[in-house]
Amino acid sequence: MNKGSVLIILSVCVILAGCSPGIKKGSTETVPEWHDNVYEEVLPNGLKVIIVKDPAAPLAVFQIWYNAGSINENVGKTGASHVLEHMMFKGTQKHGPNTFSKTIKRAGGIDNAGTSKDFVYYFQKLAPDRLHISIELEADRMQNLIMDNADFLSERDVVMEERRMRYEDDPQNLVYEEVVATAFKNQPYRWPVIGWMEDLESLTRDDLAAYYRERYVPNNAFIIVAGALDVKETMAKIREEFGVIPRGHEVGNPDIREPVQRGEKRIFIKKEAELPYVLSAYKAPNILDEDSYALDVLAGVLSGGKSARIYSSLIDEKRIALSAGAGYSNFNKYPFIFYLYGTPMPDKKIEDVELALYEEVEEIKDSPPAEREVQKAKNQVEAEFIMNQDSIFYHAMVLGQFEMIGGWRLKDVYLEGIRNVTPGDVQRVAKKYLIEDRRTVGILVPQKKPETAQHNQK
Amino acid sequence: MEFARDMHSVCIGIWVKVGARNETPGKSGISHFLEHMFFKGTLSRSAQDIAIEIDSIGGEINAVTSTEYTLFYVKVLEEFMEQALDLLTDLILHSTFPDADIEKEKNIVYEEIKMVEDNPSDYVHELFSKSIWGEEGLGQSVLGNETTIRSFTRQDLLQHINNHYGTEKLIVACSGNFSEERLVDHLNRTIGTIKRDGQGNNLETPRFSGALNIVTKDLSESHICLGLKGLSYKSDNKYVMHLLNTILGAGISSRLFQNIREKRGLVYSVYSYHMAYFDAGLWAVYAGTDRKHVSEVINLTVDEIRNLPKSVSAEELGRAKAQLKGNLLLALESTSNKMTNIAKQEIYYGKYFSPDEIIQMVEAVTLDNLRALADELLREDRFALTVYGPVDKEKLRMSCELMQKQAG
Repeated sequence: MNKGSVLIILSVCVILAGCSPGIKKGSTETVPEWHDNVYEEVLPNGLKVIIVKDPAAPLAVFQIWYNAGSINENVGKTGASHVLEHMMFKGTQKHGPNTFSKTIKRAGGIDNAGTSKDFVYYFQKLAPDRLHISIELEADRMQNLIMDNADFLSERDVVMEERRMRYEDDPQNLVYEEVVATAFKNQPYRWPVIGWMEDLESLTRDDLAAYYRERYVPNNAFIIVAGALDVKETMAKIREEFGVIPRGHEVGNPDIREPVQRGEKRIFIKKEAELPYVLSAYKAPNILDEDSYALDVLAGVLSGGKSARIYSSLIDEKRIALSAGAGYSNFNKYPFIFYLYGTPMPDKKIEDVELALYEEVEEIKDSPPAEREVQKAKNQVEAEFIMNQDSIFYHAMVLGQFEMIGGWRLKDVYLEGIRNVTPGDVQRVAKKYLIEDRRTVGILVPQKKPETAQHNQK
Repeated sequence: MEFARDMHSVCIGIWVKVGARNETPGKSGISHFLEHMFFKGTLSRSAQDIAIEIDSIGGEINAVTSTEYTLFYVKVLEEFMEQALDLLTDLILHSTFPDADIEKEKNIVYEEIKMVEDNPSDYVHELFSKSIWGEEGLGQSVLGNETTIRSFTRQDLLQHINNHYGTEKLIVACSGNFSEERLVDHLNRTIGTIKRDGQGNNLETPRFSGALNIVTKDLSESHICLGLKGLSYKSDNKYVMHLLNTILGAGISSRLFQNIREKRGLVYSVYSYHMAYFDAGLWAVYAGTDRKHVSEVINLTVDEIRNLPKSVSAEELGRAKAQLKGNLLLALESTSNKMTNIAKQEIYYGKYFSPDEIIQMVEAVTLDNLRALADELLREDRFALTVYGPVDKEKLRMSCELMQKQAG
């Protein structure tokens, strides 16, 4: 399901490929209940707790998700969510500076965090009998972060360095960033999670402190715990540590809608690079829309493996592209994009690659794909979904993503939706969404400068 | 073989003990090129058939080439194990390597080389390796270069198989939820029929060169690799090395991360790693920083390494042990990781160590072991350094020479 591009930024040095985000429903309080192996309870302060019991898992996972991704930032303060995520590791009044990860490591665990357009999440993986350490530490840093100004300034430099490495020195990421910023002119998805360099330069410690106080509250978060656990014991510890934190103001999400696009937008990005690149993005619905299942299968028909249409046509048969494919970013709170991309073979033109990508799309609009192609794409989605859940961490991650978008129970609906897609559905959504007037095209124009090497044996 | 009954997937790998370092300079890149060509069709399947077959069951088939080994693997849902095995063994036994596809693949690999160059934080490691181990053997890039790739013929590929895909050099590893009887039975009928001796890997022990290599390029960041001679896989000190490396630069609580990133905000990414080979090793640090801070980051790193023998503490050792033990267990969460783990143990040690045995070896390491190893690695005090980015070459060279001289 994650065919998407890079949206989540982890604070240490990992980027997860493409999953994204969702809508947090208002904190409707529910009676504690079981659903197969999943237990759910909402504390009086609005914090929802979801526990997945998996007796076979060798370790336990603790995740806390906040509705505090880059869409919640203000214009001019882009990147704040992600810098705050970094600051969350800097220590609390109770535990002192830089102790969080050390404590987890000493307990034989690992921890990290990630920020996306829609959310931020923090996690630890530990032996089940040490889970209480996570619960104590996460409850503590939900309320008692120090946020020293010198620490902030140094961490801001770190994030600028991260931006240089991930975007300014990575031509294809730069194109992605520019295409998204051009495709959306109003919706906050338009700015990158890492923030614009100019905004990072003017961001202050007080900006972050205000954002932290407003959004890091129990009624704007939920917890997912998974593993071989005693549910009673775990809940008792969570109530003890998190139950005392007062409810905050209801913050929700900005209601900022994207105006209808009236015609193709096209941009060129000049940057020192070896290879040209084209990225063509169409506005497309998210997973809450019935059409998303057929779009997911469409992405598979076009680009799911070497037997899919784009690979066999552009790379195998016509030999015009070095790499090419399609992707659908469906795990978002709001409608986002379906995209096509490619890099030409030497001596081939980027224009030819772009046209060949569109030809594949037009072919599907003209006649529905074969039943076996559709079945193949569905099998791929399903196998990936099931195999990913071999890992208890991904199991929790999948629940978290669905919970952010519209409730974790959607997980069961999802595979059912994929199974029901017909070739006619695939053709219909291609016609409905992959239209010229709704797309934004970015083209990387490589600039070459001479490189000089100096080798000095000593 | 390793069983994981509660998992839904199974991962099977065929490992061949040949990689870039076994190539002659004129055939640099042939192991990797051949690996690509194994997917171009067999006596009974076209390349398209292979793709359709694996995609239809939602599986993954792929391959990896490194300096010392080549790996072909499939990962599928348990119910498709035999189908996947059938496909994988067919590729190894009956690939046809059509001439037309060889020519076509040359372009693809050539572009792959360019793609690496578009990713400076990867490319710097290639430059670094070459400047340490030289143009031949261990320093050779896995992808090769344009000249060698253009020269490959079908005969070269067959020759490479004959020389290096002998029974002595093949290992099959499998992990997940599967039937041992059906697996072994299938392998006996397929891979088990190979009767090829191949040639031994007569390797010259590589020489570590503490070279200074500065490559200027107009990037936003400067990428630094700095390192000392490390230990080989054979070394009895490998867990001492792991722990020392953990303390220096693996993870958020390491010295380099705390001092260079947390305290000073000079980098986003800084880490150390130990790269072991059959008969050599490299202990190195990577850092990416703004052009203004290159010398500062280099000096801070060198100081951290030089300070290790006298400053490493029992508290750090305790934390590093807990971290390493935790990582060992956490890393075994997927069938692909488990498969890789058992295969590498077979390749490098010829025997299997259980997680419990490994934990015992980690536990046995003392503070004196750490100090002794740090002293030993620093004895020659000859740092290899590669910098790739928008730097003033002359100025940087002077400050780096200064660093080396202080050492002597």
